[in-house]
Amino acid sequence: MNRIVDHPILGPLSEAEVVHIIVDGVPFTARKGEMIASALIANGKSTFRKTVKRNEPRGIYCGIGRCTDCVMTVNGIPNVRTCVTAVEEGMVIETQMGSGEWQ
Amino acid sequence: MTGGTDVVIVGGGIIGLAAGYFLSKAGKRVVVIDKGGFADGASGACDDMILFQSKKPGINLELTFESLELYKRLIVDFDDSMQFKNLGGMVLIENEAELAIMEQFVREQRSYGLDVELIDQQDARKKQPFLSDHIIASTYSMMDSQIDPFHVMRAFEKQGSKLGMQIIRRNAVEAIDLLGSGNWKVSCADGSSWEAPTVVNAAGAWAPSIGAMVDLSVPIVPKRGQIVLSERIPPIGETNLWNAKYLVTKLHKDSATALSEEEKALGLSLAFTRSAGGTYLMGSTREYVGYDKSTTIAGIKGIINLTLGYLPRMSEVGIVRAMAGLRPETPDGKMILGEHADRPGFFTAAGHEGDGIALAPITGKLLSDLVCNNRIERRVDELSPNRFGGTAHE
Repeated sequence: MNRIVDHPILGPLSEAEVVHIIVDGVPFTARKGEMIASALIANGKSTFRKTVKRNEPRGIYCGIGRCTDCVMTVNGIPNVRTCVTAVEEGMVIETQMGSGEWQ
Repeated sequence: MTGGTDVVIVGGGIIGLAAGYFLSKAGKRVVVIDKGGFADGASGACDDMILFQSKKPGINLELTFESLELYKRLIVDFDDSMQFKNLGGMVLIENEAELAIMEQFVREQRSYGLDVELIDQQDARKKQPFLSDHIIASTYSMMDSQIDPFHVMRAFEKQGSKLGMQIIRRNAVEAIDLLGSGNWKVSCADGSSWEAPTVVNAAGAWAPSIGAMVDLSVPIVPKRGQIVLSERIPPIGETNLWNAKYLVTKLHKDSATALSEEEKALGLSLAFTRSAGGTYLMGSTREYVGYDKSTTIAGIKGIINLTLGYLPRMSEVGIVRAMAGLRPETPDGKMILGEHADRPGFFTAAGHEGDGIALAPITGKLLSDLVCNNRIERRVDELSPNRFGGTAHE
């Protein structure tokens, strides 16, 4: 787990309810209330999508919902900004290839 | 600076540039003058359609066929696709009353050689899986095509420039005077002027003010069309989309299909097209608000709600921006193309309303033939600026 469990300013990580998500077909566990991007980084996943023209990997960049670099296909909907979308139980998340596909 | 040339074109939008290219190709020295920058007017705030299905049988439909053929030839000549695409189009039908009128309309269009058919709900859903359940049928034509206006204008500009066409921007034409020599003198805001035997008024929605400079009444009014653009998304269906509702109320004034108050006030009708970049253009409004080309909350809201009524799934999609352009409308829905009576050498090529992109090549070609006195394969009298009667500007 890639998590800071004892932050110098924020202090120790509090207990949180566990949420189960599926990422590219693999079950991950996340903390209730956290953003998808945070759950993915905690689970060691840093490539969220591949770019349209050159198929280059992209992940989190601005982290505040502005740059749209971290978008993924979530529950069949492309272009979901994972840094500002909270995890939900049973959520299905996929690495978005190019502009993705409707499901 | 003062100079002599063969043709001065007032207006550097898609029509002015197309005319400039074809005239240059015919060996004329051409100067195009525009008060604004590149694609500042309606040519830069529109969709990219070469649309057949909205057209009643008649000259507009015929010219669209000819224009499409010309585009195909230009793509080869210029070695530039100009983002040409052929996705086909569907006009969505919501009730039996619309269906009856569209059946008749499709029959008329077919008799004119347009490859269009009616398809049922099931076939419509095959092409558009996310259509709202209330759509009972649709038309389908694979003829409806598109081409990117910016690429087209750049191409006309580049190819025209190679042939010597000059383009002057951010310089308004302020006066046009007939000289004793028979030439026209076109005077610009920066003090420069050009003398030429031929002047072409290709100023779109601003054509009346150019006509007024030579005491002509050009009956064009600006009609504002707002368009909302989505983020880049994967294709949401196979074709581009329009709705029958607006078309039907135009074909049959007393049609049973009623437009809502909002649809009436804004002149709303659906135009849903996928751009070459993968964004969607959603439109549009038809508003008479003079020369105000701002976008409005009411217009944007109206377009979004209209789109969601046909494609509920679009609620998941982000909106990036909105734009508005002034479509130059004529009293009879046909462009104005030709030389004015009693004004030898003064031509107008304007008034294309929403068909400027579709009709630019054929307009440029026909205008060039008229200016050069070439034999024209078709009758264009019904486009003549003299069809409206009196020429004197009131």
